[in-house]
Amino acid sequence: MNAPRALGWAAIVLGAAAAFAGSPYRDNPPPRAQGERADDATAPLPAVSATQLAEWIRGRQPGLRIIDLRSTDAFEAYRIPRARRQDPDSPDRIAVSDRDLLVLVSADGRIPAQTVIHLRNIGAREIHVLRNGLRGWLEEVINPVLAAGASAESRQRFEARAELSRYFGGQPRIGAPADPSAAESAPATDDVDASIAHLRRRGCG
Amino acid sequence: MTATLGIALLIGVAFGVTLEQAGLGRARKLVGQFYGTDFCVFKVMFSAILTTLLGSFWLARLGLVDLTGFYVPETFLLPQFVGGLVFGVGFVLAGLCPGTSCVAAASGRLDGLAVMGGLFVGIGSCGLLFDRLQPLRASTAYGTLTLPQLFELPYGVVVLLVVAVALLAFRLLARFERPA
Repeated sequence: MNAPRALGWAAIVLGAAAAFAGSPYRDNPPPRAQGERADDATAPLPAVSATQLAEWIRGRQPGLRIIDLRSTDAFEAYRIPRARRQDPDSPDRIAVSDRDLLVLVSADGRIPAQTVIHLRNIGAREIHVLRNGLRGWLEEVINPVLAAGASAESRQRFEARAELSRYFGGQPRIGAPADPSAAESAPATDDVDASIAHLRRRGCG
Repeated sequence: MTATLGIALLIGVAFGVTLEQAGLGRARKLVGQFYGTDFCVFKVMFSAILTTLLGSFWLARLGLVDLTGFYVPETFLLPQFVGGLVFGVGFVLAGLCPGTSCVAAASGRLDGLAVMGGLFVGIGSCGLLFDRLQPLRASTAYGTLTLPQLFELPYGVVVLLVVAVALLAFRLLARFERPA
């Protein structure tokens, strides 16, 4: 028997045995198929802070993909560096790899359920939502404010955030103590629009 | 990182030397499959697929490797179909594919260098036009997809079917091959 014939027989034997050998996945389940609904498809997404996202971008985090689900106009007005816009009404147009680190961005941190379900069903494993959406990015990274009279420890922490902010063209400043009740009652979209308009006037739009 | 790159370089050089030794750095040999005179490339490719398929299945079944750690490229049906056509036309015209053009160039063949030039022009153009190609890229994206998932068959049965198809193809090709 010559070598090719012997290898052919070896392949037949190993292939036939494979059919009866069971799953090669031992403890770990195989990746989900397209259309196969994940059990936890509607589970809430873990949130990532704007500061953490900024550090990922600056550190060139491998596999990082930022998907902006806001309207085209809003995206054109201002975008997070490296973000790509995606229409939330057609989530099936989003293609991902199971090694992607996805961060979903909306105006206020709320993500449509069908987008989450689609991403999980096509095998996305690491999906995060940007906490407070673009508003959180603008407040934390672009316009961070240290309350006047803050402690030395707070000032030290703020310095690190300020450096990150300046990296992204932000303007960290020391201002009046924040009024939580005012922040809650202010319309979020107006805050975002005003911040973006200010950025565009500075030439960073 | 350096060690990984070093190992990758060694594997790449060994792969290139093996291709050259097998005659797969020569365009005349490669285009033989399109004229039905030499199916060496097909046999080499399918032999590699069978070796990888059986090797990864049994190594995983014996608990020596973890299949979930393998990178499975995503399926983009329409873009990959278009890309396959472009690749095929280029292969027939040049007589070399990207890997074999590197081997041919390393062996000092000018046609290998020319194909590598085209390769870089193609990669660069694709990168520059990526935003415009994005709608096509996203048009038929299915994420990671494997044959067991697609046909809803046990992994081992798919292994057996691929082995059977490959061996059958080998027999048929041996019948139709007309050496020049």
